[in-house]
Amino acid sequence: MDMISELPKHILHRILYFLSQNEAVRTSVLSKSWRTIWRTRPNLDLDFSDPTFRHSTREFLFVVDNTLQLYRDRTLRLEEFRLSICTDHYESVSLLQKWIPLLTSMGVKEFRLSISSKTSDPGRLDLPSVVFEAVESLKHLRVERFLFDEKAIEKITLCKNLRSLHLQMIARCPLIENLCVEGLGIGLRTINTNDLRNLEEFTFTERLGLCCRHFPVELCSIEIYPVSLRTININYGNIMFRKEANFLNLNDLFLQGVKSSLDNLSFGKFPRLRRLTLLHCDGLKESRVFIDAPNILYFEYKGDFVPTVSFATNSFRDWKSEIHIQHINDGSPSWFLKLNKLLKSLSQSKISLSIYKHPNDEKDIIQENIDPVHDKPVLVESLNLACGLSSFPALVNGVFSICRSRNIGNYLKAWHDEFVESEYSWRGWEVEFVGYMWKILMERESGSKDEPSRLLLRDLEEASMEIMKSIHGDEKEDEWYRAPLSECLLNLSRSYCRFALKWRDTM
Amino acid sequence: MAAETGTPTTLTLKSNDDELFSVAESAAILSVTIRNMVEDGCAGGVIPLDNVDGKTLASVITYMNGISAIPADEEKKKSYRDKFLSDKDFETLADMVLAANYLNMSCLMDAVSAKIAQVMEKKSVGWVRRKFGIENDYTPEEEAAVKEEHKWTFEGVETDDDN
Repeated sequence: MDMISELPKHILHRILYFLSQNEAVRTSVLSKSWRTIWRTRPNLDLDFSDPTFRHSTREFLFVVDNTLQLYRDRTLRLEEFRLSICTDHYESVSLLQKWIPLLTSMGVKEFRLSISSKTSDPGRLDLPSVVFEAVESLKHLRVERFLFDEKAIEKITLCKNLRSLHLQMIARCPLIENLCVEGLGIGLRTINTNDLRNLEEFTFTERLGLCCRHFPVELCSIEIYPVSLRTININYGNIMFRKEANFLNLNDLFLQGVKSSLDNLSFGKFPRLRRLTLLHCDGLKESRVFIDAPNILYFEYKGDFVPTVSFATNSFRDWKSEIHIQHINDGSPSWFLKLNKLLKSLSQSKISLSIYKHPNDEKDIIQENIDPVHDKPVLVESLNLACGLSSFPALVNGVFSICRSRNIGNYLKAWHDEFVESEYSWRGWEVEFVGYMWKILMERESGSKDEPSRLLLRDLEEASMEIMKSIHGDEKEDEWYRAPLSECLLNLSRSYCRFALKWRDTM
Repeated sequence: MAAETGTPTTLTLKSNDDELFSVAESAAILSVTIRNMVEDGCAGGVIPLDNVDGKTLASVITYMNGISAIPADEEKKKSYRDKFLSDKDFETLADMVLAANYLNMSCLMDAVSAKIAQVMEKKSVGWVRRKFGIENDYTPEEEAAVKEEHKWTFEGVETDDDN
């Protein structure tokens, strides 16, 4: 006999494993010994739309049923099972109910299911609930022409190994109010919620998170219908909406890791927007965003570049903005000038600004000549700076050439993740910070008159040390009290300290 | 460097035609069969591999050394495997898949199986028979019947001149 036919059966199965179902079936014609080998390979790919079954769903169901029985009766190994089924035949759902537990008991590792209904009125039928019982093995699911409502979405979240989900006819449940898509490596390319006219809350979370930023991962494109939405929360997805969209009811807009351009924000209307959060949105890089949000109460930005964002707001309202910027020297000679512009456009709000320079970033901070008359310093409620000692003078100099803050600390609330990640390299920064600031603030009478301290001291009337009493959440203000240096230093490992600054009335 | 990290352990493998090969233990334990022997302490002297001939073993060792030198980068490993198998004829591939099976090396087994599958893909039955020397023991009637049973699988396949 020839060499290939003499190979042990399980090796032949391995070879056939790498062929498509058609190719595998065709090997049955090679010779008598090949006739049935394909029937027992470790993967099956059965599709009702294959030409063999073109005229008979019944025959297709019969073949699937027989094949699975054969694998079970002869305890053959089945690793992957790909099934494409249409439920137009009355027996198909009851057969699925029989097959899916069978797959689980046979230890199928990868189950790909494509299921569609052929009803003339798509979106009326519930997706057979047995589909959700394949929790362990279901890796890829495609649903067509079924009602896929909130209940189904809840259940699908139990399929923890799901890699890709393709939904058609999601719009056939137009009453849906709350839609949440969350996962690790969501395979979705697009989500269109344009027809969900009652949708109030939309959440999308790709848990790959920062990996999406640093690697060329294609983000899901999310198209939204703006009018009904109250809350939009998108993490590492792209948001699409038409120009001049009226976000009539939008209260809270949270965008993280959006890569697509956010230019359209400038043309939208946000009459009820209270909170706007933009974190790591590379889509802001090239944009100048002007947001028409008269009722804004809170704006937060976090990123590694200075964005161009401004608001049209009701000036009588008290509102807050929190800006967290990682300083990266990208060669631009106007980093602080750009920051000055941003602070100016936010100057009606209570600004809290934090700037940090990563410990591994060895590029120097570029000194800029800023004209204090033309580019007046902006009053900032609280300021936090965190960087290595060598960058401190340049950072302090730059910052105090564009703003005056009521206090200065090195509390890195917003960069907690980065902070924990490289805790080792950050260690000692508090002490360096206190030491440096103490030297220029407290010993100003006798101390040196180098460039940063001169700028900082020019309009400074008084400086005192404070220690944080307790850390509250976002809503409540943190509490601070005055303390002598010795107490601050003793508490450095447990609490934060800062310097309260009082400026001469030149602002 | 050897002084600091200790001399890497070398194993001696013996083929069924009595050829001896030295290979670094770190590369050889890609084979679960060899790894088990090492763990059981049977690797002190010469490890006899009764089911593998010298020519095939030399090839397998080249593969072991090559693939274990590549750091954990699936793309690079894949392109190494593709290149490694690209010039092998079927007889060598068949020997290697048997050796991989005996040595319990799933990555080599999968790579060779995929390579053989790739050779068969989209080819006519006659071509595959000739390529692999498979003897057609069907009667013409039987063959026609089997073909008829699965005739849809022949769409888009190159046609045979000889049958």
